[in-house]
Amino acid sequence: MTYRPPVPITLLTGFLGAGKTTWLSRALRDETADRVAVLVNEFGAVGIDHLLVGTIAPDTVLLNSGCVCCQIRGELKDAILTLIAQARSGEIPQFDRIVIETTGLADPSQILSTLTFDPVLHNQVVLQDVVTVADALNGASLHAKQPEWVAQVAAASTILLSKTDLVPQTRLQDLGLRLALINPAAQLLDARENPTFADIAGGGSIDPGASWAAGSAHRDGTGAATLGLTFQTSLDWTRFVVWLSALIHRHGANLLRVKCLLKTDTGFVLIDGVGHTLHHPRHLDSAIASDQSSHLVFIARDLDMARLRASFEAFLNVKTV
Amino acid sequence: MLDRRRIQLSDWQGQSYVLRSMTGQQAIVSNVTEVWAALEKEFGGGFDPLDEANFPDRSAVS
Repeated sequence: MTYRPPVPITLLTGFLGAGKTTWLSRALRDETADRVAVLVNEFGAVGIDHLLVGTIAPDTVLLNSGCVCCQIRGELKDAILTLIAQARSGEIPQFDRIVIETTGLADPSQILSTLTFDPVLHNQVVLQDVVTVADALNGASLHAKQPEWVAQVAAASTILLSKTDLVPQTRLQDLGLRLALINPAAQLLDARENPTFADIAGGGSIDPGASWAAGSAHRDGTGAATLGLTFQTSLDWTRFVVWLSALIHRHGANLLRVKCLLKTDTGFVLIDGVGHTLHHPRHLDSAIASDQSSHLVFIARDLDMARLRASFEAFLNVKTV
Repeated sequence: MLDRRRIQLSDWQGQSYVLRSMTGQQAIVSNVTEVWAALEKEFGGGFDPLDEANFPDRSAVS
Protein backbone atom coordinates (compact mmCIF):
# COMPACT_ATOMS: atom_id res chain seq x y z
CA MET A 1 0.00 0.00 0.00
CA THR A 2 1.38 3.42 -0.92
CA TYR A 3 1.93 5.79 1.97
CA ARG A 4 0.08 9.03 1.45
CA PRO A 5 1.14 11.89 3.69
CA PRO A 6 -1.71 13.60 5.51
CA VAL A 7 -3.21 16.61 3.72
CA PRO A 8 -2.41 19.89 5.49
CA ILE A 9 -5.43 21.85 6.65
CA THR A 10 -5.70 25.58 7.17
CA LEU A 11 -8.56 26.57 9.43
CA LEU A 12 -9.82 30.05 8.59
CA THR A 13 -11.83 31.73 11.27
CA GLY A 14 -12.86 35.22 12.34
CA PHE A 15 -15.96 36.99 13.53
CA LEU A 16 -18.95 37.78 11.34
CA GLY A 17 -18.00 40.25 8.62
CA ALA A 18 -14.32 40.35 9.54
CA GLY A 19 -13.16 39.66 5.99
CA LYS A 20 -12.43 35.92 5.91
CA THR A 21 -13.74 35.39 2.40
CA THR A 22 -12.02 38.52 1.10
CA TRP A 23 -8.62 37.31 2.28
CA LEU A 24 -9.22 33.75 1.12
CA SER A 25 -10.23 34.90 -2.36
CA ARG A 26 -7.02 36.93 -2.67
CA ALA A 27 -4.81 34.18 -1.28
CA LEU A 28 -6.28 31.64 -3.70
CA ARG A 29 -5.53 33.95 -6.63
CA ASP A 30 -1.88 34.26 -5.68
CA GLU A 31 0.25 32.41 -8.16
CA THR A 32 2.34 30.82 -5.43
CA ALA A 33 -0.74 29.26 -3.81
CA ASP A 34 -0.86 25.48 -3.61
CA ARG A 35 -3.66 23.61 -5.24
CA VAL A 36 -6.35 24.24 -2.65
CA ALA A 37 -9.70 22.64 -1.91
CA VAL A 38 -12.05 24.85 0.09
CA LEU A 39 -14.77 23.91 2.54
CA VAL A 40 -17.06 26.79 3.37
CA ASN A 41 -19.42 26.71 6.30
CA GLU A 42 -22.05 29.40 6.55
CA PHE A 43 -24.58 30.04 9.23
CA GLY A 44 -27.82 30.80 7.51
CA ALA A 45 -30.21 29.20 5.09
CA VAL A 46 -28.65 30.70 1.97
CA GLY A 47 -24.94 30.39 1.46
CA ILE A 48 -23.19 33.23 -0.34
CA ASP A 49 -19.51 32.94 0.45
CA HIS A 50 -19.06 29.74 -1.56
CA LEU A 51 -20.23 31.60 -4.67
CA LEU A 52 -17.52 34.20 -4.13
CA VAL A 53 -14.79 31.66 -3.47
CA GLY A 54 -16.12 29.05 -5.89
CA THR A 55 -15.24 31.14 -8.93
CA ILE A 56 -11.58 30.81 -7.97
CA ALA A 57 -11.46 27.36 -6.41
CA PRO A 58 -13.82 25.05 -8.30
CA ASP A 59 -13.62 22.38 -5.61
CA THR A 60 -15.39 24.60 -3.11
CA VAL A 61 -17.90 22.66 -1.08
CA LEU A 62 -20.65 24.41 0.86
CA LEU A 63 -21.50 22.67 4.07
CA ASN A 64 -25.19 22.78 4.86
CA SER A 65 -26.63 25.45 7.07
CA GLY A 66 -25.50 25.14 10.63
CA CYS A 67 -22.40 25.88 12.56
CA VAL A 68 -19.48 23.61 11.80
CA CYS A 69 -18.30 23.60 15.38
CA CYS A 70 -21.47 22.39 17.02
CA GLN A 71 -24.16 21.24 14.62
CA ILE A 72 -22.51 19.62 11.65
CA ARG A 73 -19.19 18.21 12.79
CA GLY A 74 -20.07 14.87 11.21
CA GLU A 75 -20.71 16.64 7.95
CA LEU A 76 -17.32 18.32 8.11
CA LYS A 77 -15.66 14.93 8.51
CA ASP A 78 -17.66 13.45 5.62
CA ALA A 79 -16.87 16.44 3.39
CA ILE A 80 -13.13 16.12 4.03
CA LEU A 81 -13.08 12.38 3.41
CA THR A 82 -15.19 12.78 0.26
CA LEU A 83 -12.84 15.43 -1.11
CA ILE A 84 -9.80 13.22 -0.51
CA ALA A 85 -11.51 10.17 -2.03
CA GLN A 86 -12.63 12.14 -5.11
CA ALA A 87 -9.14 13.52 -5.67
CA ARG A 88 -7.62 10.05 -5.43
CA SER A 89 -10.13 8.59 -7.87
CA GLY A 90 -9.59 11.44 -10.32
CA GLU A 91 -13.14 12.82 -10.06
CA ILE A 92 -11.73 16.20 -9.05
CA PRO A 93 -8.23 17.65 -9.52
CA GLN A 94 -5.52 16.78 -7.00
CA PHE A 95 -4.97 19.31 -4.22
CA ASP A 96 -2.15 20.04 -1.78
CA ARG A 97 -4.12 21.74 0.96
CA ILE A 98 -7.64 22.04 2.35
CA VAL A 99 -8.93 25.35 3.68
CA ILE A 100 -11.92 25.24 6.00
CA GLU A 101 -13.66 28.59 6.29
CA THR A 102 -15.82 28.54 9.39
CA THR A 103 -18.82 30.63 10.29
CA GLY A 104 -18.12 33.80 12.21
CA LEU A 105 -19.74 32.23 15.24
CA ALA A 106 -17.66 29.06 15.33
CA ASP A 107 -15.58 28.11 18.33
CA PRO A 108 -12.42 26.73 16.71
CA SER A 109 -11.57 24.43 19.61
CA GLN A 110 -14.44 22.10 18.72
CA ILE A 111 -13.32 21.88 15.09
CA LEU A 112 -9.70 21.33 16.12
CA SER A 113 -10.85 18.51 18.35
CA THR A 114 -12.62 16.82 15.42
CA LEU A 115 -9.61 17.22 13.14
CA THR A 116 -7.15 15.98 15.72
CA PHE A 117 -8.93 13.14 17.43
CA ASP A 118 -11.32 11.63 14.90
CA PRO A 119 -9.81 8.17 14.34
CA VAL A 120 -10.32 8.31 10.57
CA LEU A 121 -9.46 11.96 9.93
CA HIS A 122 -6.42 11.73 12.16
CA ASN A 123 -4.53 9.70 9.54
CA GLN A 124 -5.79 11.62 6.53
CA VAL A 125 -5.24 15.26 7.46
CA VAL A 126 -2.99 17.36 9.63
CA LEU A 127 -3.87 20.78 10.97
CA GLN A 128 -1.17 23.17 9.80
CA ASP A 129 -2.42 26.71 10.47
CA VAL A 130 -5.23 28.47 12.24
CA VAL A 131 -5.77 31.86 10.61
CA THR A 132 -8.04 34.29 12.42
CA VAL A 133 -9.16 37.44 10.63
CA ALA A 134 -9.69 40.24 13.15
CA ASP A 135 -11.64 43.31 12.14
CA ALA A 136 -9.66 46.41 13.14
CA LEU A 137 -12.75 48.59 12.94
CA ASN A 138 -14.98 46.53 15.21
CA GLY A 139 -12.56 44.10 16.81
CA ALA A 140 -11.76 45.74 20.10
CA SER A 141 -15.14 47.33 20.65
CA LEU A 142 -17.96 45.13 19.38
CA HIS A 143 -16.44 41.73 18.75
CA ALA A 144 -14.33 41.61 21.88
CA LYS A 145 -17.51 41.27 23.93
CA GLN A 146 -18.25 37.97 22.21
CA PRO A 147 -16.67 34.85 23.73
CA GLU A 148 -16.35 33.32 20.25
CA TRP A 149 -14.13 36.22 19.16
CA VAL A 150 -11.78 35.70 22.09
CA ALA A 151 -11.70 31.94 21.43
CA GLN A 152 -10.91 32.58 17.75
CA VAL A 153 -8.09 34.99 18.55
CA ALA A 154 -6.70 32.64 21.21
CA ALA A 155 -6.64 29.66 18.83
CA ALA A 156 -4.83 31.51 16.03
CA SER A 157 -1.37 30.74 14.77
CA THR A 158 -1.71 33.83 12.57
CA ILE A 159 -3.97 36.84 13.10
CA LEU A 160 -4.82 38.83 9.99
CA LEU A 161 -5.83 42.37 10.84
CA SER A 162 -8.45 43.54 8.34
CA LYS A 163 -9.90 47.00 7.61
CA THR A 164 -6.77 48.62 8.98
CA ASP A 165 -7.22 51.53 6.55
CA LEU A 166 -10.45 52.50 8.33
CA VAL A 167 -8.95 53.22 11.74
CA PRO A 168 -6.29 55.66 12.96
CA GLN A 169 -2.78 54.39 13.71
CA THR A 170 -3.12 54.85 17.47
CA ARG A 171 -6.21 52.67 17.56
CA LEU A 172 -4.39 50.05 15.52
CA GLN A 173 -1.58 50.00 18.04
CA ASP A 174 -4.08 49.55 20.88
CA LEU A 175 -5.76 46.69 19.08
CA GLY A 176 -2.41 45.06 18.31
CA LEU A 177 -1.53 45.25 21.99
CA ARG A 178 -4.86 43.82 22.98
CA LEU A 179 -4.55 40.93 20.54
CA ALA A 180 -1.06 40.25 21.84
CA LEU A 181 -2.41 40.11 25.38
CA ILE A 182 -4.97 37.47 24.36
CA ASN A 183 -2.58 35.51 22.16
CA PRO A 184 1.08 36.53 22.36
CA ALA A 185 2.17 33.43 20.43
CA ALA A 186 0.39 34.37 17.18
CA GLN A 187 2.03 36.28 14.37
CA LEU A 188 0.16 39.45 13.43
CA LEU A 189 -0.16 40.38 9.75
CA ASP A 190 -1.94 43.22 7.99
CA ALA A 191 -4.55 41.83 5.60
CA ARG A 192 -4.05 44.87 3.34
CA GLU A 193 -0.64 43.50 2.41
CA ASN A 194 -2.35 40.45 0.94
CA PRO A 195 -0.45 37.77 2.86
CA THR A 196 -0.21 34.48 0.98
CA PHE A 197 -0.43 30.91 2.27
CA ALA A 198 3.38 30.98 2.45
CA ASP A 199 3.22 34.07 4.66
CA ILE A 200 0.90 32.44 7.17
CA ALA A 201 2.94 29.23 7.36
CA GLY A 202 4.83 28.79 10.57
CA GLY A 203 2.87 31.44 12.41
CA GLY A 204 2.48 31.13 16.13
CA SER A 205 5.99 30.04 16.99
CA ILE A 206 7.16 31.02 20.43
CA ASP A 207 9.59 33.88 20.37
CA PRO A 208 11.90 33.59 23.38
CA GLY A 209 12.70 37.26 23.16
CA ALA A 210 9.12 38.40 23.47
CA SER A 211 8.40 40.49 26.50
CA TRP A 212 5.42 38.38 27.57
CA ALA A 213 7.62 35.36 28.12
CA ALA A 214 9.17 36.56 31.34
CA GLY A 215 6.73 35.65 34.07
CA SER A 216 4.10 38.02 32.84
CA ALA A 217 0.37 37.83 33.41
CA HIS A 218 -2.02 40.10 31.56
CA ARG A 219 -5.71 40.72 31.55
CA ASP A 220 -7.17 42.38 28.49
CA GLY A 221 -10.64 43.47 29.58
CA THR A 222 -12.50 40.72 27.71
CA GLY A 223 -12.09 38.30 30.60
CA ALA A 224 -9.19 36.60 28.88
CA ALA A 225 -5.88 36.55 30.69
CA THR A 226 -2.44 35.45 29.58
CA LEU A 227 0.33 33.92 31.63
CA GLY A 228 3.87 33.49 30.29
CA LEU A 229 6.42 31.39 32.17
CA THR A 230 10.11 30.92 31.49
CA PHE A 231 12.70 28.78 33.22
CA GLN A 232 16.10 27.31 32.50
CA THR A 233 16.14 23.86 34.07
CA SER A 234 15.11 20.71 32.22
CA LEU A 235 11.53 19.66 32.87
CA ASP A 236 10.38 16.25 34.08
CA TRP A 237 8.33 15.31 31.03
CA THR A 238 6.15 12.65 32.68
CA ARG A 239 5.31 14.87 35.62
CA PHE A 240 4.44 17.73 33.28
CA VAL A 241 2.10 15.59 31.17
CA VAL A 242 0.30 14.33 34.29
CA TRP A 243 -0.05 17.88 35.63
CA LEU A 244 -1.21 19.29 32.29
CA SER A 245 -3.71 16.49 31.76
CA ALA A 246 -5.19 17.20 35.20
CA LEU A 247 -5.35 20.92 34.40
CA ILE A 248 -7.03 20.38 31.05
CA HIS A 249 -9.46 17.84 32.45
CA ARG A 250 -10.56 20.18 35.21
CA HIS A 251 -10.23 23.58 33.57
CA GLY A 252 -10.23 22.86 29.82
CA ALA A 253 -13.41 24.89 29.31
CA ASN A 254 -11.62 27.99 30.62
CA LEU A 255 -8.26 27.29 29.00
CA LEU A 256 -8.42 28.92 25.62
CA ARG A 257 -4.87 28.10 24.60
CA VAL A 258 -1.77 26.33 25.87
CA LYS A 259 1.49 26.67 24.02
CA CYS A 260 4.73 25.36 25.43
CA LEU A 261 8.29 25.04 24.22
CA LEU A 262 9.75 22.64 26.77
CA LYS A 263 13.33 21.77 27.47
CA THR A 264 13.43 18.11 28.47
CA ASP A 265 16.25 15.62 28.99
CA THR A 266 15.71 14.35 25.44
CA GLY A 267 15.55 17.75 23.74
CA PHE A 268 12.97 20.42 23.05
CA VAL A 269 9.30 19.50 22.73
CA LEU A 270 6.52 21.72 21.41
CA ILE A 271 3.06 21.38 22.95
CA ASP A 272 0.06 23.12 21.46
CA GLY A 273 -3.46 22.91 22.79
CA VAL A 274 -6.79 24.65 22.37
CA GLY A 275 -9.51 24.07 24.95
CA HIS A 276 -9.72 20.37 25.79
CA THR A 277 -7.74 19.50 22.66
CA LEU A 278 -4.03 18.88 22.97
CA HIS A 279 -2.13 18.26 19.75
CA HIS A 280 0.45 15.53 19.66
CA PRO A 281 3.75 16.81 21.10
CA ARG A 282 6.41 17.57 18.52
CA HIS A 283 10.09 16.97 19.13
CA LEU A 284 11.98 19.87 17.65
CA ASP A 285 15.20 19.80 15.72
CA SER A 286 17.99 20.73 18.09
CA ALA A 287 19.14 23.23 15.48
CA ILE A 288 16.03 25.33 16.05
CA ALA A 289 16.75 28.80 17.33
CA SER A 290 16.27 28.87 21.05
CA ASP A 291 17.64 30.56 24.12
CA GLN A 292 17.85 27.11 25.77
CA SER A 293 14.98 27.93 28.10
CA SER A 294 11.49 26.52 28.45
CA HIS A 295 8.66 28.89 27.58
CA LEU A 296 5.01 28.35 28.41
CA VAL A 297 2.00 30.46 27.47
CA PHE A 298 -1.44 29.93 28.94
CA ILE A 299 -4.43 31.91 27.70
CA ALA A 300 -7.50 31.48 29.82
CA ARG A 301 -10.78 33.02 30.81
CA ASP A 302 -11.99 33.19 34.41
CA LEU A 303 -8.94 31.38 35.72
CA ASP A 304 -6.69 32.59 38.51
CA MET A 305 -3.34 32.97 36.72
CA ALA A 306 -1.38 33.48 39.94
CA ARG A 307 -2.76 30.17 41.20
CA LEU A 308 -1.91 28.54 37.87
CA ARG A 309 1.67 29.68 38.17
CA ALA A 310 1.87 28.54 41.80
CA SER A 311 0.44 25.14 40.84
CA PHE A 312 2.96 24.72 38.02
CA GLU A 313 5.85 25.59 40.31
CA ALA A 314 4.59 23.36 43.11
CA PHE A 315 3.93 20.25 41.04
CA LEU A 316 6.88 20.60 38.66
CA ASN A 317 9.25 21.78 41.35
CA VAL A 318 10.68 24.58 39.24
CA LYS A 319 11.06 28.27 39.84
CA THR A 320 9.87 30.40 36.94
CA VAL A 321 10.93 33.93 36.11
CA MET B 1 -0.56 14.10 42.89
CA LEU B 2 -2.77 11.30 44.11
CA ASP B 3 -1.01 10.84 47.44
CA ARG B 4 -3.42 13.03 49.33
CA ARG B 5 -6.33 10.94 48.10
CA ARG B 6 -4.41 7.83 49.14
CA ILE B 7 -4.78 6.47 45.64
CA GLN B 8 -1.96 4.77 43.78
CA LEU B 9 -1.41 4.76 40.05
CA SER B 10 0.62 1.88 38.68
CA ASP B 11 1.62 0.60 35.29
CA TRP B 12 -0.18 -2.55 34.09
CA GLN B 13 1.75 -4.71 31.62
CA GLY B 14 3.09 -1.62 29.91
CA GLN B 15 -0.24 -1.11 28.17
CA SER B 16 -2.47 0.64 30.66
CA TYR B 17 -2.62 1.94 34.19
CA VAL B 18 -4.40 0.79 37.32
CA LEU B 19 -5.79 3.18 39.91
CA ARG B 20 -6.06 1.59 43.36
CA SER B 21 -7.48 2.98 46.56
CA MET B 22 -6.56 1.93 50.09
CA THR B 23 -9.85 -0.02 50.29
CA GLY B 24 -9.00 -2.15 47.27
CA GLN B 25 -11.22 -0.28 44.85
CA GLN B 26 -9.59 -0.14 41.42
CA ALA B 27 -10.04 1.10 37.89
CA ILE B 28 -8.09 0.44 34.70
CA VAL B 29 -7.38 3.33 32.35
CA SER B 30 -5.61 3.23 29.00
CA ASN B 31 -3.78 6.53 29.17
CA VAL B 32 -2.89 9.29 31.55
CA THR B 33 -5.62 11.64 30.37
CA GLU B 34 -8.24 9.08 31.38
CA VAL B 35 -6.92 8.97 34.93
CA TRP B 36 -8.76 12.10 35.95
CA ALA B 37 -12.10 11.07 34.46
CA ALA B 38 -11.76 7.66 36.14
CA LEU B 39 -10.94 9.34 39.42
CA GLU B 40 -14.18 11.31 39.30
CA LYS B 41 -16.28 8.40 38.09
CA GLU B 42 -14.95 5.50 40.13
CA PHE B 43 -13.65 7.11 43.28
CA GLY B 44 -15.88 10.16 43.61
CA GLY B 45 -14.61 13.71 43.69
CA GLY B 46 -12.11 15.02 41.22
CA PHE B 47 -8.65 16.45 41.40
CA ASP B 48 -8.11 20.15 40.96
CA PRO B 49 -4.43 20.96 40.37
CA LEU B 50 -5.17 24.62 41.14
CA ASP B 51 -6.49 23.84 44.61
CA GLU B 52 -3.69 24.69 47.02
CA ALA B 53 -4.87 21.90 49.30
CA ASN B 54 -3.70 19.49 46.59
CA PHE B 55 -0.27 21.06 46.15
CA PRO B 56 2.55 18.68 47.12
CA ASP B 57 4.99 19.46 49.88
CA ARG B 58 8.15 20.76 48.26
CA SER B 59 10.16 18.38 50.41
CA ALA B 60 8.14 15.44 49.06
CA VAL B 61 8.87 16.29 45.43
CA SER B 62 12.14 14.95 44.11
